[in-house]
Amino acid sequence: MKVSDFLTPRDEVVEGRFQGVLQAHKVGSSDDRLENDSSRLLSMTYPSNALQTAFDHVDNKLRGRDAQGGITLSGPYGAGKSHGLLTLYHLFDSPELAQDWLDEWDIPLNLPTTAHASILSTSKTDADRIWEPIFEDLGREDILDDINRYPTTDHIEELAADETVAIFFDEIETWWESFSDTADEELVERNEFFLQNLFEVANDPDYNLFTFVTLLDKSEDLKRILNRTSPYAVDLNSTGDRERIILHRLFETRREDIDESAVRDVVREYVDNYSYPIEIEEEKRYENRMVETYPFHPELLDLLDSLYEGGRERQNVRGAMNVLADTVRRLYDETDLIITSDINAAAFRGINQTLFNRYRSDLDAIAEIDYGDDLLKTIHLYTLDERRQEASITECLIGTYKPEKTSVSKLDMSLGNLYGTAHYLDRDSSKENYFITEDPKLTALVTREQERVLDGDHSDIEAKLMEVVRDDVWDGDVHVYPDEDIPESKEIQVVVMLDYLSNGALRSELDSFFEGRTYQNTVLFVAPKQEIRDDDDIISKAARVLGAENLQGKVEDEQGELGKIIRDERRELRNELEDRYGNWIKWSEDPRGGVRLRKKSVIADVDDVKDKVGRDKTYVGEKILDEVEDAENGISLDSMLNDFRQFRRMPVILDKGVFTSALSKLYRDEKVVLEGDRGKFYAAHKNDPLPDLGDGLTIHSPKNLDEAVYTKTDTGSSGGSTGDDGGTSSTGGATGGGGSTVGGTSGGSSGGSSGGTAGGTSGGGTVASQTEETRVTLEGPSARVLRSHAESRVNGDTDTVTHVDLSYDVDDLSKEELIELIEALPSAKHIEATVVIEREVQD
Amino acid sequence: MKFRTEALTRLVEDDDPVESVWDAMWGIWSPASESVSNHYDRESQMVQYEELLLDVYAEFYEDVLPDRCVTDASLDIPDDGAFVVMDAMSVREAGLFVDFLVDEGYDPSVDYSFSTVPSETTPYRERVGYSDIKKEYKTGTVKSDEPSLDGDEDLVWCRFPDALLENIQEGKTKLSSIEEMYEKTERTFERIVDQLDAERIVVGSDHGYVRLDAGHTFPVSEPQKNRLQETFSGRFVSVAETNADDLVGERLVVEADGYYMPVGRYTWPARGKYSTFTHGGLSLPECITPRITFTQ
Repeated sequence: MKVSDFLTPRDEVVEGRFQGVLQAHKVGSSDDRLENDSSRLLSMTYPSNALQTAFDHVDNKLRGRDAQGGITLSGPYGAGKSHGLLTLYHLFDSPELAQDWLDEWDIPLNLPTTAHASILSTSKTDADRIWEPIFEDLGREDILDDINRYPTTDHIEELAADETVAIFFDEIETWWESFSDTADEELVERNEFFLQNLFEVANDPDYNLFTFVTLLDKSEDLKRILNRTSPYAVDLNSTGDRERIILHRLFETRREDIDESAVRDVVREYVDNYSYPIEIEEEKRYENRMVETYPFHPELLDLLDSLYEGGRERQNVRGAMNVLADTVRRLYDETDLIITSDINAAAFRGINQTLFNRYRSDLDAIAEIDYGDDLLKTIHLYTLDERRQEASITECLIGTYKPEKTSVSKLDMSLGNLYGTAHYLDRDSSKENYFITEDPKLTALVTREQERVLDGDHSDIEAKLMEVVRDDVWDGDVHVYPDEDIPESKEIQVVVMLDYLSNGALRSELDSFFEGRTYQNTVLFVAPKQEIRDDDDIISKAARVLGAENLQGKVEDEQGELGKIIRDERRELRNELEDRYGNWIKWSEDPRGGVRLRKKSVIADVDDVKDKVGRDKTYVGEKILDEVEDAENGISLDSMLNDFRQFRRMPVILDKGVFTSALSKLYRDEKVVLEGDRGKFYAAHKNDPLPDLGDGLTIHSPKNLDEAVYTKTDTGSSGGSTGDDGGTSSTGGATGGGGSTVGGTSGGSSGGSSGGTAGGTSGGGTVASQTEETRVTLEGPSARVLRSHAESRVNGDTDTVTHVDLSYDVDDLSKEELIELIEALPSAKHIEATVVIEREVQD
Repeated sequence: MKFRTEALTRLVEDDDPVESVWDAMWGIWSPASESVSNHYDRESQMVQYEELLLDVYAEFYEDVLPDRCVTDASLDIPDDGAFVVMDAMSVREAGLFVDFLVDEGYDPSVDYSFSTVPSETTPYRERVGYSDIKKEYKTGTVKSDEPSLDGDEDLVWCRFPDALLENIQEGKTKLSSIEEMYEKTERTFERIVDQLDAERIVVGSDHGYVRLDAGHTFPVSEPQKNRLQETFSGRFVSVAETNADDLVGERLVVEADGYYMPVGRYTWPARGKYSTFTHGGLSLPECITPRITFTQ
């Protein structure tokens, strides 16, 4: 169903010409306006209770039942004061037409057939003497001539002497307050006397003078003047039938012509679906009221009443009637009931431009939430109500719910999602009331972002957790396993685990980690004592930190509140995590083979872990000894250090100093011997000072070395056996006697191919079937050298020497020395010697 | 210990004990390690093997090895290719070179040869007739890691790694790392191979080198050490200059081809500047040199 099925809007509403605000001074305008068209004005005026009260006062005076003709019309802006004033004006100005209208509505008021009416709006006429335009308008300038300082009661009585006169003042308070107490003192006094006199005559039973004044209760001074004669006060705001006024104003259809049963069906569909968390009391009564205010939801009309109740006129705020007319125009053929979220919120931006901007700026943020814009608009409108400044959950849902669109429960979910998504939406501590704030609601946003993060895949949360563990809990001095790569390093690394594992699982995990890894003993694992990654509380806290950090740069935070929230949340997470660390995983040699795992309790501090590791060099020394005793060729210092870094069965070396200190002690205690380059052995046994413990040393156990290598002995005794150059030993002599062949070429090689496979055999006893002649040169300064060459170059198994050419380069031998040399030569088949002689020649 | 048992068995059973020794050496150094640093860390295994060999078969050092160095040192330029001498390339670098060549897509084969005694360049050049070779063949010399070859050289003599070895350590001062030495050598080798047009390339060396840094020597007693120090100024000494027959008798020194040389890794503290990467003596990595052959 649609509103149009029950009600027909007035043409001006449908066509967008609706004149929601009436201005009394326009009554004299020549334009086509509602104010000066008594017929149109009356036809769309609903004789409200308040108006009928005014009519009763008029009727009583006309009938002589009452003397009082002074009536004030009061109420806040938008209450219909000007409309009421204009209606009363047209009763006197167009009595014939007005009588018909009164009769039509069965109002027992008999208007005089002739009457004079004058309306004065100070917004149009800024007269110093307010009576002058009135007298002029009523055509009694003649009386003006008699007036001295102000009109006396005589002058006024003369004005109303013959017929009924009605005088209307609109917005007189502003005019009145514009006078200065001192500068305009006389003028104020004259006008005051006039008003006093006017109201006195209006209260005189002998004169049919009516005086109507609209009041906003802005001027106590004016009120004091008027109250002297106790005029009747009609409060248009508490008329009690405001809905009727509005409905009559916007729709042609008379109330009695509406199919109430069908309307009730529509309304019931709403009320029946108002389920939890909507709370309404006396459902039937509520339903009845909805029928009464149809097609507007009563909550909407109440909200509008509240918004205009302040009584202040605000710039840029359209009258309630205009707002409703605009809504009817847009929706009368589309919806079956007009609710709060149907209103165009821009109409109220003048009430609080900042809040309006906040509301608008959040629309993008909530675009993904079903009916989020409607909900937020409803909350925004309720926030504008200065007395409430918030919307209850019921108001939010009723202000948004339409049966054909969604269900209350879905809307409620959307409302929940709205909180923390809209940057400027907040709620009170009871979580029952929502409102728009001028400052972004960071805690709400953080909560929402936290929930969003938790709903997604948890990899980001775990990355944040890892970061906090590493940087906050462990001050950035550690790696986090298994999230980070642990580099191969000779340096000590503390590695913190995020997973809490049973001993078996821990062993298996770490075995897998160490497999194929070279430097296993530089990695100090610390495992948590409780669950971390699988603890919902920890994950939730990490998600909150992440959520808060995600908001950075996305929300306004001039006060730095977000930064503080992030710090607080991180601190809380850090404290929680600190309590869960931890156990240092200590490895030791298992007598049955391999390594054994033990846990040592530590606090979350790298220094504490290192303290637990310890710096006991005794144990390190024992290990060094064990290792070198098993190595016959010794172990280089570098390699030994590497062993400590590589093998978990070894003690952990926190720094090289522990190692060198242990080694120094072993050296001093003569438990190791150190070897430097080129066979230089250092041993405390022979009082060698400790060499510089650089990497270029090899550590030996004395047990693996010949004692002679490291003990001090007298070098003089062994040196005595050395023979002198020249070779006088028996071997030298033998060689010298045998060498005789003189080769023609040098460097004769056996011509072996590149491959060793072609090399000669080393076995002896083989008899060659063929021989070849080859020449081998033996040369040098002594027979020892020739012997050595002969040993090397002549094969004892395969070679037979057949000829020796012996050539000597000598230094000036004497004949005796030559003969001595010849006599030393061995005998042979044939010996031939050519001697080169430098002979003195006779000149 | 499998290594020990197998090594001993082969030494006894093989006709040529050098075959067995080379296989053991090659088994230590090939295939090469992933990292150069780890590769050179195998030196301890090498020391262990050399010490074992000395324990069980000292004659290898005293007779077999000197004999082969005197008689079999060679440099044969292939008819269809070029010979590249990488000065002082040892079995260690050969392991790395072979892996490098395989990575480059070659299919190298490996064999061995010998240095002369002493294991130095000059006697090697004399022994192989280097002067005559230079007259007969086109020869190029490479002295930097940016070689510039014509491409048709028959023989290329590259001063690496020998020229770099002495830069690794001087006394206690480390000047360069062994990894840097190798990487520069390999870079140079790669460029030589790239620039040579030869279809077949044989890579050999004139001698290898021995490491005498801590942990890589054979221990000797103080008196012996003093005797060695008195006898040698370098890694070898001519028999004409001294008589070290007592050290020969103690099996610390071998006399071969007119020189005394310490056996294996026997060494003595050196005064003043010294290098721990040296050659001239009679150890396996100095005297048994690799030969790598591949075709382009």
